Amino acid sequence: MVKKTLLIIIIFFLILLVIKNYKEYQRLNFLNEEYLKEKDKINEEIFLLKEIAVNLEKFRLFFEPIYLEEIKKLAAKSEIFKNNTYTMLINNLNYLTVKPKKNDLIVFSNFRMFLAEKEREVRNKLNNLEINYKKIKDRRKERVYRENIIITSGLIGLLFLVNVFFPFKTKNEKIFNNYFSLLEVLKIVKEKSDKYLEKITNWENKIIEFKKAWEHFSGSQDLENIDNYRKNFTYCLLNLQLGLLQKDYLLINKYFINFQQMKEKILNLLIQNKSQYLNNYFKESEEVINFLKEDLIKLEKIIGEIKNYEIKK
Amino acid sequence: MIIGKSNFLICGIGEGEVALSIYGIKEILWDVKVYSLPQVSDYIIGIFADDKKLAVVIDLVKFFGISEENKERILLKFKTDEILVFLAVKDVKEIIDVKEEEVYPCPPMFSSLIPNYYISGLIKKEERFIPIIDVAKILAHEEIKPYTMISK
Repeated sequence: MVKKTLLIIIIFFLILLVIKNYKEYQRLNFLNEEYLKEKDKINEEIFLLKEIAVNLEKFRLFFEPIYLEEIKKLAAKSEIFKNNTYTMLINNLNYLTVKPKKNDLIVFSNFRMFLAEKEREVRNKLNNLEINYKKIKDRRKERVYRENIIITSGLIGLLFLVNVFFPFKTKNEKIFNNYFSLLEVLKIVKEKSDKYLEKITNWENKIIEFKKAWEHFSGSQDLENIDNYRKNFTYCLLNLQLGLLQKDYLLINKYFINFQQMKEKILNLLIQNKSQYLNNYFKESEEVINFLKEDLIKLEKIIGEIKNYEIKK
Repeated sequence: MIIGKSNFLICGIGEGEVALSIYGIKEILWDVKVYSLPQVSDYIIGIFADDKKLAVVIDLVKFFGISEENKERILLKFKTDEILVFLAVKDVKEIIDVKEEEVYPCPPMFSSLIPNYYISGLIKKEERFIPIIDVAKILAHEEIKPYTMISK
């Protein structure tokens, strides 16, 4: 329970960190977009100021209203000229067209100075923007990088802890698990075998009774056989159990073969001695043998897997 | 001393039963012929060959001085890297799981036949008290020790 809680807490923090990291990425992208937008705007402003300066010069030289119109158009696009205080400069130029005063240098020089100053301001703004952007970008990148390291370390740590708390199944462990399932099967087999042995004992008692009642029954040899089989069967099962507990493949294999042979012998003995009197016992015993057969199929499958593993190893 | 859970072989010696840890016990053999050895202690009942290696057979019934004759001779093959020996018992009844809490220290004079020195604890299972025999102590017995080494 403690292990699971610890893992859940780690996973929860990792998820929080991943969300934070993702947001940081988004902010970084947003910052980049904002920067590019602002940069474009400033560049456009510089371009407009230059274009206005060119047209101003043309207007000064040729005094054609077309250049003034161009200046007005460009000024309308510019953010700087949206401020009312600068409309005066345009008005001065307008005034010149109404009352032409060729070479009115003050108006032109004021305008040129204004344009030069604004261009300088805008360029400074661009520089500052670039510096600030770089600073923020570096800071955020560093944060993202740091978070990435924490997330990666966290994931590795999490994987390690999961492996420590709930080990991953390797091929070797799979085989061990097979041994364990084999042990489970053996338990079932043993349980059924115990019942089976019990029935043999009953049968043995019945034979004794039978022998007493009908002296002509020639079963003395069978009594000995039954006793032998019961003993063999018990020791065979004990060896199988020992082999399974100690994961001794050779021992399991040896006694598994033994177990199969013994089962056949017992089956034969039952068939040979079939009589009306003992019919019920045989019937019950055969049922048990059928159960045993099913378990044997399971056992064979698992032993086959273990054999394959041994060969590959 | 056991920690957690261990498996024990419950064997009959004489009228009683004892528990042996399955550690080192590699196989249970029955219906085997043991060849007797001359001029050895009576509990070394002979020699037996397994996997082309010869080893002595020690009769636990006789070792503990239990008068009953051990006719059945069920052999427990005890093998480690350096030791190979067969322990003869009357019969092997079962292999049981024993939890730590089911093992009790042996009280003084628990058995008149088995010295306390060879009993490492008592297993309490379903109203039965089964002494755990320390095989290592038996094998360290000065008369047995020279016979237990694996023949090269």
